[in-house]
Amino acid sequence: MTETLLSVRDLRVEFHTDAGVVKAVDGVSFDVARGEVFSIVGESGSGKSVACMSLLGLIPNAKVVGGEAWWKETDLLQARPELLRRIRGGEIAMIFQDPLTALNPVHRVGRQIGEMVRIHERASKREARDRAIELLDLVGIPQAERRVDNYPHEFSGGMRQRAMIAMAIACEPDLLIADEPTTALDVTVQAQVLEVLLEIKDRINSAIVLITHDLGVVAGMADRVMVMYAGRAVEMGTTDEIFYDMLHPYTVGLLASLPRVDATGEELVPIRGAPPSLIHVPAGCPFHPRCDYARLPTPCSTVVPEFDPVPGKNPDHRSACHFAEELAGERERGKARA
Amino acid sequence: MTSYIIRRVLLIIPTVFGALSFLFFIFFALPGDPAELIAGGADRNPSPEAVAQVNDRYGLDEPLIEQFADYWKRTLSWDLGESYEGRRSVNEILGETAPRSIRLGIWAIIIEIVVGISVGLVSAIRRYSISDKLTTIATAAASAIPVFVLGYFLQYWFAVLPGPNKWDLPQWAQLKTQGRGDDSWLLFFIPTGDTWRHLVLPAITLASVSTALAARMMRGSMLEVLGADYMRTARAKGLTERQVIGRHGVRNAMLPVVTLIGIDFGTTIGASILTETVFSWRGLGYTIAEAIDARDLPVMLGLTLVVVLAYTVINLIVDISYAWFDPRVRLGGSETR
Amino acid sequence: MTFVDQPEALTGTPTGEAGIADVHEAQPLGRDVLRRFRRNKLAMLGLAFIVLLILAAIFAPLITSYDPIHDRARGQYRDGPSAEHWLGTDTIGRDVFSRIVYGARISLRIGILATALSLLIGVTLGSIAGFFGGIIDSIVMRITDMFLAIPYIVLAIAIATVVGRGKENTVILVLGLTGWLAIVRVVRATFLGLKELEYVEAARALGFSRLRIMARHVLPNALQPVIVYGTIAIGGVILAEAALSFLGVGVFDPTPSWGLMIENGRRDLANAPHMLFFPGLAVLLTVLAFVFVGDGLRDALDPKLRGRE
Repeated sequence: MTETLLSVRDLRVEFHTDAGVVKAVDGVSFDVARGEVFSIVGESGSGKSVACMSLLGLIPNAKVVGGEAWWKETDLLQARPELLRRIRGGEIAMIFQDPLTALNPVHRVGRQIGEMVRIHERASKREARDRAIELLDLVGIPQAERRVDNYPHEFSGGMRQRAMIAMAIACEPDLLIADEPTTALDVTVQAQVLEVLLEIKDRINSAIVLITHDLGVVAGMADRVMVMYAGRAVEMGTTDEIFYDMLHPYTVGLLASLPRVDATGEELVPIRGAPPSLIHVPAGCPFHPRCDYARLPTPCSTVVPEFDPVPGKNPDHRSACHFAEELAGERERGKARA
Repeated sequence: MTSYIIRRVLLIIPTVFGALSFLFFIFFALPGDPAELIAGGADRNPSPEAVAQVNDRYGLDEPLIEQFADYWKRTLSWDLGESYEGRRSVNEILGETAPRSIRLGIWAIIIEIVVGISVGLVSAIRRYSISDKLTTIATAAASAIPVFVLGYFLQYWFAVLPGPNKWDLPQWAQLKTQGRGDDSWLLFFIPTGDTWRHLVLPAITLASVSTALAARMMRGSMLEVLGADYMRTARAKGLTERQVIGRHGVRNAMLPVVTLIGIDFGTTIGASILTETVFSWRGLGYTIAEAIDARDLPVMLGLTLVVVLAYTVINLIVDISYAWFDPRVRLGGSETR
Repeated sequence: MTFVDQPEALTGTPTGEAGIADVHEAQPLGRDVLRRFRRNKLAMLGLAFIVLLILAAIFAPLITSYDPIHDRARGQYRDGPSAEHWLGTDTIGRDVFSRIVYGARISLRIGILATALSLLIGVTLGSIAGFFGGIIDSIVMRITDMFLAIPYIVLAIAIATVVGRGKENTVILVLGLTGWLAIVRVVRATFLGLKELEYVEAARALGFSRLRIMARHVLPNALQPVIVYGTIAIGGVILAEAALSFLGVGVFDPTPSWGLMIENGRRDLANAPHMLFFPGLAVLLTVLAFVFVGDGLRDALDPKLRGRE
């Protein structure tokens, strides 16, 4: 029986800017269970990063205007600042996209890692340093004893990211949120870093929320996936379901647009159009202007689809499309014909 | 780091050479008749004998190239000439007045660093608050007001108006508006006895412009730092806001401010000419102002030379300390394994 | 920084792609800048003051009733403000208010012309140094360093002492020829940075000549800091002129320079403070106005500040 660690319901986050109100996250719900890798996928601007960072209150300008985020008896969105502070790093840790800018350039790496245990576990300087060396070793950095006194710019990109991971797991958090952890890295290094993440997860029995736009990473790592578009969740299910039994046109488009090594000579198939403005979100289903299956004007441009399970499918497989059932049906028929 | 230092020091040589040569050009090649100027200035109509004497002493009727070589010979042997007025050697004047200016300058810099950095820091943290807006206006005003006007205003306020001096403050808190008092100093720059009362107002005036600049610079730098990714990381680690700013923000924000102090020194030098005049603080600046008034070229040239050298050295020290503070420069580029 | 902190990045048309309807139109850059500038109260105040000052300077004869140089009120020396002389009179009976208004002409003229000269020299040298790099860059930098080793005021004073015969144009030249130092570095840095930017490479690839690239693409970007600096520099020049005149190496009597008025007023500070403080106030307000406008321009032009409420 897997324990549900994080339970987010109807999260809504807005930014108030000169140009208008940006609805960055518009009603997102998901659960994360211990030990699983839950991936949130979407294009830039889909709201995936904002959603997760808002859970920890890391975006000063963002206004959380609705929803709940339950973490072990506490609603993160209503938590007192001191409690939130303790949870940050101690129970929920984040790994950011660009380790070069995410690490402080004027402090030694060891000190930044050690800072975690010094704050959360009141360790001494000596203890913190020893712990830092241990952690660097754990994430696979050679000569940890020496490296612990280096500055971030003295590390290579992959090593920096590992150092970030080391820093994040210092207090053995129950949840690791990794925001595009491999985007800034070379392809060869990406695999290594992801492997480290998985190893760590098993070792400390935590869960991972993996935010990414790279479907290849998802395929290799994730147990369950949630696809986001224009600040909303459009589909959620197991990795297999998302890759082989998509129930939303956007997901279909995403996977169809992936260049495949084994399919030579075929044209690339992008999703037509461009991501929408989050100030003027299209009415009804936000994806309708770009959707090949859209029935206009009703209901696709007038009624916002609910994020619901689809009849005839696994109840945990949800989709926000008026015609999810039809989509599934079409695929069945296609398979039958083939 | 060492290679950086060496390179930096080497760079100084051509710069100083160029600058001092340029000074030569200004003082000896530019004016109509430098001999006349040195002998007493065009408005004093020096006698032909006096002019001839000056020509002789400085070799001013010789071709420019020879003069140039001569000038450098004299400069390198630290013969800075004599004031035409009173015939004192410039070196003597220098020895007498320089320490006074240095003391005043030290205090101005202390004020600049302490006040400037803290004000800048606070106004960055409390961005858009009332105190931030007030500070913005105050720093802008401090940099917009001519230094000598500020000086006269303080003088007027303390000496003439029913200002703080007329309140019921004990004797030791009454600030003086002229001169240096009994000029007693501990450890060269700590004022003792009556001296400190004479020090406060000039020091504040001298510090005003550079403090304002430092505060603005610090604010800008801190704002940039506040938006940096590593600040977000620090928060994500669970640090309190105070820890985030104190441990991660300030150190990074101060880097560019350190360089500013070097550049500021130049402004301070210029300001000292004006400030010392206002408060009759007979230091280098005061003497230069006097020399300007009297068109006393040797003194002007000699003191300017010294000022240029001091400025260059200070900048060098500042640059090197910046390099030391920023580990990216100190340790050289990155190793890639 | 990721876009999450700059949500306004989400509001425009995504670069490159042809959008289908429903994409909100991006506002043109100029209007954005103006809007931001207008919202800055201090900057607008400063601008208003400058406009007023310029008008006052132009229409000086209309708003003053005395000649600043020749009218001397007999027997009314060092008088404080009165109905006849709004800001009082000076040591030889001249009307302070008139002198301040006419003084605005001097300050503005010197300020603007000297700054224009500095910018001309600075931008030219900076762009040449930044664009061509190599030896040319080194030479320009060496020369600049050499000048920079002498503090600005000291340099101006030195040259003015030796050359100046109290004429306005001399002051303009002196301040113009010493003020270009700061801007050279900025322009050069911008050029050096922009040179490597991708869109310059793209332009090269398309066959544009280097000169065209420099003028059409790089220069407009480099101009932004120049505009900001130039505005604030006008204030700096006005301060410098005041200092020069105060020390006796700027303009001479009877020209109504504010700095000179301050110097004249210092002797009677105790009993006739108005002679010193009114021109002092004039300088303060004018420079402050330019600083506010310059700051406002900088904030309005700086994209990093967008969206930070």
